Amino acid sequence: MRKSVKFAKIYLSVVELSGEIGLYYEADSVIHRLDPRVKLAWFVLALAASIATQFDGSVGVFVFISLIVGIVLARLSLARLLITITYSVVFFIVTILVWASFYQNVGRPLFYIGFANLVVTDVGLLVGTGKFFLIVNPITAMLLFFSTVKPYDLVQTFDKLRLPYKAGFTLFLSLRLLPVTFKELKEIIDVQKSRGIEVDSPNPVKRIAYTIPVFVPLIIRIMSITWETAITLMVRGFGAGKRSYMKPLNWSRRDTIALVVLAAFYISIIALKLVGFSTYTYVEGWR
Amino acid sequence: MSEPAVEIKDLWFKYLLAEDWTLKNLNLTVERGEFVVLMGPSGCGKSTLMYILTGIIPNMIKGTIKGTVRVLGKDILRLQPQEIVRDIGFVFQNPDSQIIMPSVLEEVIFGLENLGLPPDEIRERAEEIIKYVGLWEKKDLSPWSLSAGERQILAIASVLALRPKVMILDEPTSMLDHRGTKRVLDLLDRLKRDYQMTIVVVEHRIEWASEIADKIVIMDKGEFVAVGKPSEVFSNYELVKRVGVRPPMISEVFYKLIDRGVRVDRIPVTAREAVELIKGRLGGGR
Repeated sequence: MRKSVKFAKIYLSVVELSGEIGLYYEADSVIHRLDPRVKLAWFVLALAASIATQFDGSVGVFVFISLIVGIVLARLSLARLLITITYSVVFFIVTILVWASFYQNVGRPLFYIGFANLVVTDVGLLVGTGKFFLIVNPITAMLLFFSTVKPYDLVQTFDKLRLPYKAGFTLFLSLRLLPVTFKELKEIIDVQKSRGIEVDSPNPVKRIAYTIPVFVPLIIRIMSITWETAITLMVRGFGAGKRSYMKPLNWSRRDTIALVVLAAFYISIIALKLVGFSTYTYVEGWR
Repeated sequence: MSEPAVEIKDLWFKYLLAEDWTLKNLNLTVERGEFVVLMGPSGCGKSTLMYILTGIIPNMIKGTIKGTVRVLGKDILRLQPQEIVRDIGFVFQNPDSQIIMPSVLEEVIFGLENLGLPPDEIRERAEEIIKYVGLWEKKDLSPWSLSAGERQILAIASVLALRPKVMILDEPTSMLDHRGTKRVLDLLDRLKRDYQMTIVVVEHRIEWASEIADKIVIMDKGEFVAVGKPSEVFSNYELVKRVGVRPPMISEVFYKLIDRGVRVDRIPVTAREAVELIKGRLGGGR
């Protein structure tokens, strides 16, 4: 079996493993027990810190490490962590190469990449890693948030923060649609294969052409599912007025401590960056 | 005397941009507590009628409507969705599209929370209904781990939790296997028996409909072509054949007997009626 097909299959199984309910991963962990509002604040703080450190990977890496610690503490599955890391490694290499090329003439040269005729300098590496963390940190923070916040609590979190709960619910519904879409996609691929369409043909032109008999029925199916879901929401009184909750969110002392620790950590990083701090000192004036 | 559960008078409906009327001059009265089974070939307008009875038309689907539709005395065509859900419950074919939340319990409480009920009442109603439909042991499981039949039962339970006075079901068993179908139909049987709820269901299982229905309505090309008790409707052999609805198997046996010259007082529509008839003829029995 070719690698791309194999990887797609692994990816599908990971999506299925996510409990067919979006990204939420059921586990009994200290992160899961935190109030979702703390985790939302965590996401916002990590995002802000990533923006503040986008030109300095030597600081941005601490934001990344804090999120990996979060993922480990949340006892998320290895498969999920692997998916993040696999994407991150590929993305890391591409980002470093692109940004290092912009900063070839600034800073001290560290090494030379022959095939790309590229001099990687310390500044190029700092900016490259900073930009890498600017993208990867928010994605990891989002993964941590959605993996540890129950969809049921997601709507309530928006509601409690006086954000429109319909927006929270739309977000939840779109996440719920992910596994349903993959399930439909798998079924359509199987059906089209049984009709002799080589969906995973080695010929790239054929493969592109064969996306049409897969994606057209898929889009039609998704539209139909979305329509039926809208009917279901209507007959269940969604948007009828002020919602109540059988299991209301409960803010505890543990949440306050977690919020204070997280805020202190990320605000320190932002403040340090604002005053020009870096863990790396580079020599100006090379070339 | 209380008003009927459903009262349809001179109802015409045409979809936006359509040339022909989908529903033509429909008139029907469903009394409170009545169990009505609606039948008819595909495209005859059954689902359109269900959409009107549940307010999906005109709230979500637009078109031209003439006539009046009253549900529990209220003009359904003028009500907003939030005013309808407390009185009318709707379940349709595909159980997968009716699953919103990630666990059985959360699915049932979703509608109750939307109505803003107090947490204690939500808990009480959810527990009562989940136990009633037999899913209590699975209340914490993902709905996707249930069988299709159980998922449809869950969809029905989620609507029942809202305590509607009228339940509308549009082919609730059409996507289920034999076992799932039996579970859903058994639940409808129990709802009729235990709650005397007004139920209007589109269903093609004739034998089951003959046993349980108080009224059978057969639709064809947007019109009601037969309305009455199962015994009245299915004894009209010519009509049933003309609109393409298969009569109950037991009735068909008796049609054939009549064809062969056997004199029969009436056409039975259920096995029980047939047994009584034959027993009477034979003059025996214990």
